[in-house]
Amino acid sequence: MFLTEFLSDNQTFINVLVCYALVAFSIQVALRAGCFSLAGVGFYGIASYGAAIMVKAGVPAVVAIAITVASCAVVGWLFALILVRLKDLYLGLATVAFVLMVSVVAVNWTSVTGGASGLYAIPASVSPLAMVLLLVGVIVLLALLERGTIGRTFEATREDEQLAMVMGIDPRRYRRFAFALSAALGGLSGALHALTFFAISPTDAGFPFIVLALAMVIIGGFGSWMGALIGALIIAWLPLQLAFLGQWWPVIYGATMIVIATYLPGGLHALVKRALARRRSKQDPPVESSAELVGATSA
Amino acid sequence: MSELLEIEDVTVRFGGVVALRDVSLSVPQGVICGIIGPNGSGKTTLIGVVSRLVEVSAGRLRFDGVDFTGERPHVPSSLGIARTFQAMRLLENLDVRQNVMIGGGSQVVRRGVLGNWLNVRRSSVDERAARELADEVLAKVGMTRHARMFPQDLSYGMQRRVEIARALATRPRLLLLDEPIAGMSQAERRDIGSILQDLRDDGLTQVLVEHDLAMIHRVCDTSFALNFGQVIATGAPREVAASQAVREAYIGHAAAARESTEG
Repeated sequence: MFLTEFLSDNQTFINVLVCYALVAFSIQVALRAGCFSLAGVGFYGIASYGAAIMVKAGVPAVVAIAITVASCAVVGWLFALILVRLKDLYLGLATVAFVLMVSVVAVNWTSVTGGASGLYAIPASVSPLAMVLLLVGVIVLLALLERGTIGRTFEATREDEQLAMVMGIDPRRYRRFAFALSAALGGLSGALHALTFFAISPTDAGFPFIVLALAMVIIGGFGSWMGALIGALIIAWLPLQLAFLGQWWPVIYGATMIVIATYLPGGLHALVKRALARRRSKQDPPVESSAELVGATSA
Repeated sequence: MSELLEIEDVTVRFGGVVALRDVSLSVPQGVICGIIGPNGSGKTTLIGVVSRLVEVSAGRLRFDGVDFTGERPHVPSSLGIARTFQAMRLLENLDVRQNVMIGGGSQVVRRGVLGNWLNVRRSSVDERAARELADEVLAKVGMTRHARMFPQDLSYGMQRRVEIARALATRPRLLLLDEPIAGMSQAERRDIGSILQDLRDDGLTQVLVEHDLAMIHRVCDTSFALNFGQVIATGAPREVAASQAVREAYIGHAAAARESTEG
């Protein structure tokens, strides 16, 4: 009872948060696999139009979401076949180009996308409770992806590709997977955006949104879903608190990002994780002398 | 004694530079085979070739009779070939045990992404097995008590041991070691030597690239010397080190001639 009341009171914030978190996850899962890919934002754009068009044509919202997410995953996987050859800045640039292509198509393919004014009166609504449950479901899946062998496999793939290969890991396979998942998450975010805000426009998935999505991941940290969620929370919540600054609030955004990128590489999440790890390692005092080691091996 | 690793007429070219030229050598099962040679003689390239990180321009590679010349770098691990690197390659954000478990996960990784992701019950069984294996190999290198420490908090020698443990966690039949004792103290060198001998006694075949001839003499059963990408001597470690070609390669033709007349 209390929960439903809370959710409906904060409906807009929750919708924004869930869409932001999903798009931040889409960047984070790619980064975690060592791919500096912003393609998730492009899939966000494609999926928001796809879902909107389908729902307007009478397709039930759930089906429309499922179809857009699945097709984004497939297209993302195909994309990866070409893009995994690229690395770092080159990959980043190629994926930014993809996002910009999506927004150009959205502006110019007027008969389908509604052109510059976009699509509106999208007849669907996803309840805030469903939004939260979806987010929780995605988080569970992402948490599973970060634990155990598969978690370490992504760590190795990102940190040291040669080492990963020597350990029997095929990095290309894991990067393709990360790309497909990233596309699916971007797609889910876009579809939910279209079906909760009832209107979409080409500016929704343009360059400013790339910067925003990247900001979430930089502020929170790309090492874990938790970092992306923290980043999304801050980016969704900050504008509400900085509303009194009017048009000047992006300056505070920018300053926050510069400070975090400079002093907290790895984001807020890495800061917390490091502190916990140090505490744990202090609780387990190390062996001091090498004499004990010599004893251990010669014994 | 059957041959575990066979390298046949392997040539490696990097652009205009020939790093290995018609190298043929074979490593029998159950021995430690030393590879010596001056800097730039092609030792690390040879390890790179066997671990498939370096493409061969010509020649064949066989492991236990199976040709793996054209394979991609993640395949040798599944055949039973593991390696360590000259430079330290531990992941800083994982503790020692987790680093070793990367090696232990290699069997699981082959099952595919989706199965490992979504099959929670199986992955917790796998995790337990990987942890047990990690603890077992950490014990072999004398690092049990450091399992929860982070690599950057360990001495250089300890980090080397963790690297060896990680390679062992892939359950290899052949271990390629690229200068595992470089930069270590005498005591640490002795320890690593004993670890390698124990592993050999357990049946693990090893290829040891090393500058330290004392180490080669102490632990190796057989050896090869490389110079300018070619095999210049082969046989028991002492014979190889004493051969004219090897002395010339290390100290130069004139000095070697002077030494042999003086000697």
